[in-house]
Formats: sequence, structure tokens, C-alpha cells
Amino acid sequence: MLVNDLLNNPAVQAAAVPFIVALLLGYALAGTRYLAVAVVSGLVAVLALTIGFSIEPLTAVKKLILATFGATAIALALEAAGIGARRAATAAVALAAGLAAVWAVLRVLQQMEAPGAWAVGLAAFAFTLATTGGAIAAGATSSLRAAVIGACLGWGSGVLALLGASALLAQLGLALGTASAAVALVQMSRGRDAPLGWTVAVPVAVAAPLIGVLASAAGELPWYCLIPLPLAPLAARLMPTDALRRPWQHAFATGFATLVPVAGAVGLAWLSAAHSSSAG
Amino acid sequence: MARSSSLLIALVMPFGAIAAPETYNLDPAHTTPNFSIQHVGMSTVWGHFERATGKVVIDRAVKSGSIEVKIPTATISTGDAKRSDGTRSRDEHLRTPDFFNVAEFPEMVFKSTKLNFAGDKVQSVDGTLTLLGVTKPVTLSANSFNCGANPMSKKEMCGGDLVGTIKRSNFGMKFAVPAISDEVKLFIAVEGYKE
Repeated sequence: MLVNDLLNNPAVQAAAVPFIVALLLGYALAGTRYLAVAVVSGLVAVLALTIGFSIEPLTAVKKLILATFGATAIALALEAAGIGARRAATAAVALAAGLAAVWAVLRVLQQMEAPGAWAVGLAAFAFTLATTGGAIAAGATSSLRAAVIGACLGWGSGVLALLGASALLAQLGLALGTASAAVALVQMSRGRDAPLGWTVAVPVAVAAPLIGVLASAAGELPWYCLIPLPLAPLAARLMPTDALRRPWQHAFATGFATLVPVAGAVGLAWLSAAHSSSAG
Repeated sequence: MARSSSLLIALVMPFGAIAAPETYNLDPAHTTPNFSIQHVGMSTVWGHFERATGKVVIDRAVKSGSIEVKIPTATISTGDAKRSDGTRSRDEHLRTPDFFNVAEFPEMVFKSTKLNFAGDKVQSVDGTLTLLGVTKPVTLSANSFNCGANPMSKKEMCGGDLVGTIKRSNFGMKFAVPAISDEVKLFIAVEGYKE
């Protein structure tokens, strides 16, 4: 009974269990190029404890989940083939993520007038393309940096979804962010990056912008709150970390830089909610 | 043989004229889909939808007919529409992808497949409910389902209460089960005026 109560607790579902699962898998895969499996295990854990794995009905949330798994599988296949984080591979994953964003909100777009639907669709595509491509590129040379960026984007998208009134989307984002954090912790504890695995960034690079798009298109999150998110991986790239010797120093510097735009997005959402309540 | 056929047709025809289906368009002001659901194993949350439309077609002579109710999901109301402290209200939450996902699925529909009569009265309705794009069979009991003249306007009308229970997880609405009960009790009050 106590175990059931614990497993039904949203914090356990979205944080504790994904963290433990990702940590264990992270240690098992630490010496390989496939740490992305540990990150995506966070998503598997939260799904197992919440809505399960059925794709019926094929809602926008289910499409988000399929896109995340699909993009991760493609990235791991490219990594296994030795292709690595070349520009073409990054662009291909980012383009696929952008198209997935339009696919995810297609049912919503079909109910809008044509000019508005085109605008929302193009905005969702561009936003997702920019965020996904930026996150993968920023983490391409360091799997530790990729994991930290993933943690910040995941947590940020989770909080934005919560402010946009969808607890389920929030749980998905927080679970992925926590799993990324676990993977970063594994690398910090080992004192070194994993063998170069750009794929570590892919699960959250795809899921985080999709969560933002859905929180806005199908929830209550104002669209302008998403504007700072694509700046997060850019801020991480601009943070000078070459002089930092220790992994935890890299992690904290990258995390600090990434969280600035994320905090900006969350601040906008918070202010918007506060303004909405005082006006209503 | 021809004379007996003509006689048979002449005898049957009047009954053919009586067996005519009557259509009643649902009055949104008096058609209210209600529901109740248990919250964290304690209290019951009651809610309803507004502006439901549809029609009742009934043929009492041959004891058949149909009922269709279209429900705009965005009209859901559980008495918690807006909160002054800025936190999301229950009604706002219910409209999100966690529950009714109104942006993707603006409508849910109950459509009957068979009306079951006890004497002249509709006793129950077999049909399907389409929610979140998923269609599942549902049987609703028809309580106090009557047809007659409105005592004030004298217009012909039919109406009653359609009562039943569904499991929301069957339609893919799994969020927060079992903290928020999987079982949902439906109480759809319908009234319609003859076309």
C-alpha cells in the first residue's frame, strides 16, 4: 500500500523514479556512446507510472512521445553507424523535430482559420527546429554539456507546461530533465565525459520544444513565453568553459548559462498567469 | 389472388401511416450532460457541460428510434472557473491534454444504436460515446423518459434522464487514475421539441 501511494505521487513519478532509473542505466552505459538510452529511460519510467504506452488515442501528447523515441532511435542508429554529430545529421534531426511539431498540433491547426493555422504551424516548426538544432549542436563536443543542457531544458519545459495548466506535460518535461541530470551526475562522478555521444542531447532537444508547443497550442501557456527557450543552448555555447578543469565546474557553468534564458521564459509565464488572475 | 392482395394492402396501409418516426430537436437550455467523479477516494466532484445539441427520433408504433447528443467539451464546468491567486483552476485543467484536451477534441458525442422499450416507455438506450476521438459502447438507463405536450407552450416534446457509468481510461483519459476515479457517472438530462 505504501509503495502504491509512493508510486502514485506525482513527484515520485516525474523525478525520483526517472532519476534512479537513469542513474543506474547511466552507470551501466557510462563507457559507451549510447548514454541517450539512460536519458530516454526517464521518459519510459514516467510513462510506465502515469498514462502507459498505448498510442490510442493518438493525441498530440502521444505524438510528442513517439517523436522523442523516434528521434532518439534515429540518432543512436547514426551514432552506431559512426556518422556522429555532423551538421547534416544535426540538421536532419532538427528538421524532423520541426515537422513532428506540426504533426503533433495538426488537429488543433485543422480547427483554426487558414491564416492563423499557417502562422501557428510555421511558428511551431521554426521554434522546434531552432531549439532542437541548437541543443544538439551545443552538446556535440561534450556529452556532459549535452546532459546539463538537457536537464535545464527539460526542467524548464516542465515548469512552463505546469504554468500552462498541463500537469502531464509537466511530468514528461521534468522526468526528462531529471534523467539528463542523472546522466550528468554519472559523468561528473567518473571525472570525465563519456566517449563522445552527441545523442545524449537528442531526447530532451526534441521533447522540450514539443512540450512548449503543446503547452501553448493545447494549454494555457502564452506563445511569447517560449521565445527565450531557443536562446538557452546558445547561451551554453557562449559560456567559456575551456579554462575550467574539473567536470563539475563545466557542469555548473553550463547549467548557469543555460538557466538564464530558461528562467526568463518561466518568469514571463509566471507574470502572464499573475496578470491573467488579476484581470479576471 | 389479386383481389386478396389488394385487400391485404388496404388493411395494412392505415397502420403504415401511424408508424411514423417523430423527430425532436434537443433544447440546449434544457439538455444538460452532468457527471460525477470521486476525488482522492473522498468527496465527489460534480460537473456539467453546456450548450449540448442533438436530436431524439422516436417511433412508438414500431418501438424504435435514436438519440444523438453532441457536447462541446470546452463548456465543462465544475464550479471552479477562475482563481484569484493566479493558480490554474480545475476547469482550466480539465480542458488541457491531461483530461478533455478541448483544443484537439472540441466535441464528444453520444449516439444511440438501439432504444429498448418497456411497453410504450424507453427503458434504456444502447449506443456509443465518442470521447477524445475514441468510440466505445455505452448503455444508459432512461429514467422518466416521456413524451407529451409542454404544459405552458403546449408544444410536443420528449425528454428524460439518461444515466450510466463509464471508465474514462477506456477512452485514453488516464491522467491521475486512481487518485481521481476511473469510474465516471453520467447523468444526461435531455429535452427536445418536435420538429
